[in-house]
Amino acid sequence: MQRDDYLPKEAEIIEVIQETGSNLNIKTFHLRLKGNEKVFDFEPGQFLMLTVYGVGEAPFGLASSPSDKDKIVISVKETGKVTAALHELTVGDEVGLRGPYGNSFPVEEHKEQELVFISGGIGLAPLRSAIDYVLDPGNRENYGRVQMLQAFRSPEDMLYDYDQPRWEETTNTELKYTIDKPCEEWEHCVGFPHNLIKDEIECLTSGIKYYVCGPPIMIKSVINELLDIGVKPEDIITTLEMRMSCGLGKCGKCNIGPHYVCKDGPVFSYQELLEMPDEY
Amino acid sequence: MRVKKLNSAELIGLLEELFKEYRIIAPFKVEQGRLTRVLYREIRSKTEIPSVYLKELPETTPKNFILPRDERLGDERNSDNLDFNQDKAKLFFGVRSCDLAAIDLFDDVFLEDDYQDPFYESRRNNNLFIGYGNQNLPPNNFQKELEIEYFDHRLAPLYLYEDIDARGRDHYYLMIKTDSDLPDQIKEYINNLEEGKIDKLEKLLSDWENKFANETSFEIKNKLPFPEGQVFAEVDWDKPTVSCIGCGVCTYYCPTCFCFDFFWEDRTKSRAWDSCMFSLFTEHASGHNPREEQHQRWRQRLLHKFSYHPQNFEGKPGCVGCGRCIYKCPVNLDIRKVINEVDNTLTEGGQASAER
Repeated sequence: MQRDDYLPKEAEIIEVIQETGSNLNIKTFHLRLKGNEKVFDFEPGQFLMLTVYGVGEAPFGLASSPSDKDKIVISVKETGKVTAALHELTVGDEVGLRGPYGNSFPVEEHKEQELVFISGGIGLAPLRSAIDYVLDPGNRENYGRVQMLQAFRSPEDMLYDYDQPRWEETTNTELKYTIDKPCEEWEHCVGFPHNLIKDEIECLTSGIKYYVCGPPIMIKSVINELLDIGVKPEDIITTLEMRMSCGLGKCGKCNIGPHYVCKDGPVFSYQELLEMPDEY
Repeated sequence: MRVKKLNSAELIGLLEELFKEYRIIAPFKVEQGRLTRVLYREIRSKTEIPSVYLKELPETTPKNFILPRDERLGDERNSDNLDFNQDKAKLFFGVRSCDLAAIDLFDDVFLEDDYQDPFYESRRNNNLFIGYGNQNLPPNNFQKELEIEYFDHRLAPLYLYEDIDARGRDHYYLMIKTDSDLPDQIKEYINNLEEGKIDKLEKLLSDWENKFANETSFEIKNKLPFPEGQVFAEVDWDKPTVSCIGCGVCTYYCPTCFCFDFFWEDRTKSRAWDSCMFSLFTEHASGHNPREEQHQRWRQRLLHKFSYHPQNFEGKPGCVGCGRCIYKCPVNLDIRKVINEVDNTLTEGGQASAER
């Protein structure tokens, strides 16, 4: 993919997966660039700009492991104009793609460490690129124990049920699920993730990194809880969302202080966020 | 460096020679209903040349031609008709040093190493600038506080000075720093003009500068970049900006505001200017908005120009002090007063960054 251009390349939707249950608001799209069998190189945590022609363009976090060279994967919650139009599209339809953009999760730096992934709802999508990368058989032995706490509103809102058996069966990996309110036939945790961290995750304070992604309020409460436990701000990693047009640090929209989320982020450690103005 | 002296007829003659070789963009006085405005536009025929109007600061700047207010990105690449595919170089005539500094700033942003904007680059190719100055300081101008010289800029190889009170060949001075890029017949036209004395011009310009010094008292007391964390948190942003109605005029007339948005019409992607003074600039699809209030948007505009931009570009301010935003503001909100507020907060807090 040509990096130096505001104009997207044409891509085709090759599969659409309805992720969530009755409310139908999250879909996962598998895409392929036209004329390209292989997926462009990217790193976990990066994002792309997707165009629904005639409607608009928006950033989406890449949701697959970079080692998957067959397809580009994004998960999309129907929220605004572009996502609503995208949800109307189906296999064979064309969209525009450009990217990948932004920095990435520091998974290379975090080799030999234990990792904890805490997600809320669609916030699991960008984390999935790091989870699948770390749990990839080719990489698994480079990392210590992996613990995951995945929070959803209800069982109907769960994402990636097709990944769960694989994740659960990977060695030295623990996966827990929680929903906001109790409901019948639910055998996992109940409650907001920040209230469950102490009991459900073995929270070490060294040799371990915490990746947190979800709605802003969830990120903030989880981080507060981790700090309370004694986790260092530099050991907490999150990824931010911002309205953006270009993805290249030019259009001026996604800045927090002197940093552009599209270029200097979207991945920041909590230590970095502490040093930035509180405007996100 | 050489100086030539011109009367009005000789200046028109020079422009006529230039018109043969260049597409000339120059300021004109334009009647719009009851308003008379000075705007940059392209000279379409030789007969328009005597109407070029230099004396007042134009309301618009060359920005409109380098990063147009709206442009179709797809078309530009594919059509032979459009602007930057034309053979002739563009000459921006009569440009003030503050507006030249603004183009420098755009180059920093759009041509920086990590990503060179191909659309900007195409329009910016083959540009020639002829600078301009006279003895009237444009209203609200504070470029000197941003260390921008009044009567010279490195982007302009030629500079025209107009002594409005003088007659005949004492009316215009043309400073030629280099003419190596000019076509031969223009070099020849310039060579045939009456030679002027450099020291006499320098004396004139220094008299004008001294006059300007008495006409502006505004000072930026703290060194740029303003310390972002302290200024963000400690300044009472609501107080100096409460009258802002969020119209965005300041950003549309600003020669350094470069923020933009994309729009799609079928397969055509367009770019248009956008403004941090609008709530939609940052509103997420979810409804969350990092800048809900107008004073937060003002904080962004001021800190972008006086803290974030200088941090990202070797200390260079993101404002050139042209004064247009002050002149155009419908509620007389003066950016200099907001800067004063920042200065006062930094000084009162006892943690002022090194004073200038």
